[in-house]
Amino acid sequence: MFTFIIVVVAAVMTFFAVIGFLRVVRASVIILILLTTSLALLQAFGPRLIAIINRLWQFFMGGGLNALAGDGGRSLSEALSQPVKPPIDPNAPATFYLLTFYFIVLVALLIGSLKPFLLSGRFSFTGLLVGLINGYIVAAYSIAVLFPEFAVLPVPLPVKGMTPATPPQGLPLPGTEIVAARLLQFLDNLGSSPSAHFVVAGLIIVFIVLATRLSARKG
Amino acid sequence: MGPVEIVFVTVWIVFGIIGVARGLWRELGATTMLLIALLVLQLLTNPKAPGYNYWKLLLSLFVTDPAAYQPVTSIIATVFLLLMAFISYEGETLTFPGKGSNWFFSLGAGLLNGYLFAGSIWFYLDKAGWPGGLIGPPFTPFYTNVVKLLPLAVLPWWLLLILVVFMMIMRVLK
Repeated sequence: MFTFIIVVVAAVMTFFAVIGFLRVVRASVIILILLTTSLALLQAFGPRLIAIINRLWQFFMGGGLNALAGDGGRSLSEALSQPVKPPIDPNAPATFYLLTFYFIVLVALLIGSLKPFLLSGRFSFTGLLVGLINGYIVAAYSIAVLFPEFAVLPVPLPVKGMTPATPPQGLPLPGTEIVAARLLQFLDNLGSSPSAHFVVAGLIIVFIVLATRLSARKG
Repeated sequence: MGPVEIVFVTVWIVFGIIGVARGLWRELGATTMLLIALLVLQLLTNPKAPGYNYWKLLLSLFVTDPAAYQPVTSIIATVFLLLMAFISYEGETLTFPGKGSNWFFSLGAGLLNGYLFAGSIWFYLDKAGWPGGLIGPPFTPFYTNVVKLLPLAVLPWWLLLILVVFMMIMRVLK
């Protein structure tokens, strides 16, 4: 399951990074502004938004329109006092917040794909960096809601009801997995070795020599 | 695996993909630039390097509290790395002369650049104790092992100098 989480995070971040890399940086900045603004609004006005939606729902489902039109014989106060199950539970708003957030993400992506932001023939490194931040934000909030037990990514703006109050500090690699244990052992041995710097520098040199010689031969 | 590792491994993978998109020869130019940036940083910010005393002298002009030296150094180093990466990747960039490319070596060069770039930022943020308060100990065994193998943890300034000279020679030889 944890491997799946890592794959999801990597995929989301890569997706947004590639978008930022292919489009000019403006697209990624617009997406970032929309994402952070929507989160700030959810943080400040989330409960009020839920109350309004629930109230509207009650109004429509309780026959509020008929009461307004005056043909149902029911007064407006009666319509608003009808027992109607609210569509959003104010005590568990995480799913609603996430769906609202995804809607903003979709809008942001659509705005980012408008003509002025499209690829102008040059890749953008700053677009890549901002895209990575966008991807991180989307991944962190998605995991906080969908997989709260794995919510190890810190979020920039905590939203009450959406993000955990005290996120887990980190999850160790499963100790039973032999490959992971061996990898850790290998990294530990290499890191503790006094010749680690020669090994790393040697690997870099060998790679550069092979890459330049073999690629040139193919060309 | 904790949040730091997840994010930095992802950045590393993204650099690999970017390497495939840009091609080997451009990536090698970025490698050279990043190695130069790391050499400058090691010469100035590593306490064992010859330039450290000058760096401390410079810092003391702006920072009065010696305890703040490391965080300030880390922030300056991170900004410097971002700037160097920007110069290396954006617009007209240093490119190795060469024809043809193959995706395997382009991917490898991209991953190498990701290791140099993301690994160095990780190194400095770790040194600064993760400013901002979002990240903190306890760290996972993976973190504690990898942090010993980050570029600036394993490559001293003289070895970086050798690597920069080697890259220059390879650039001329091509």
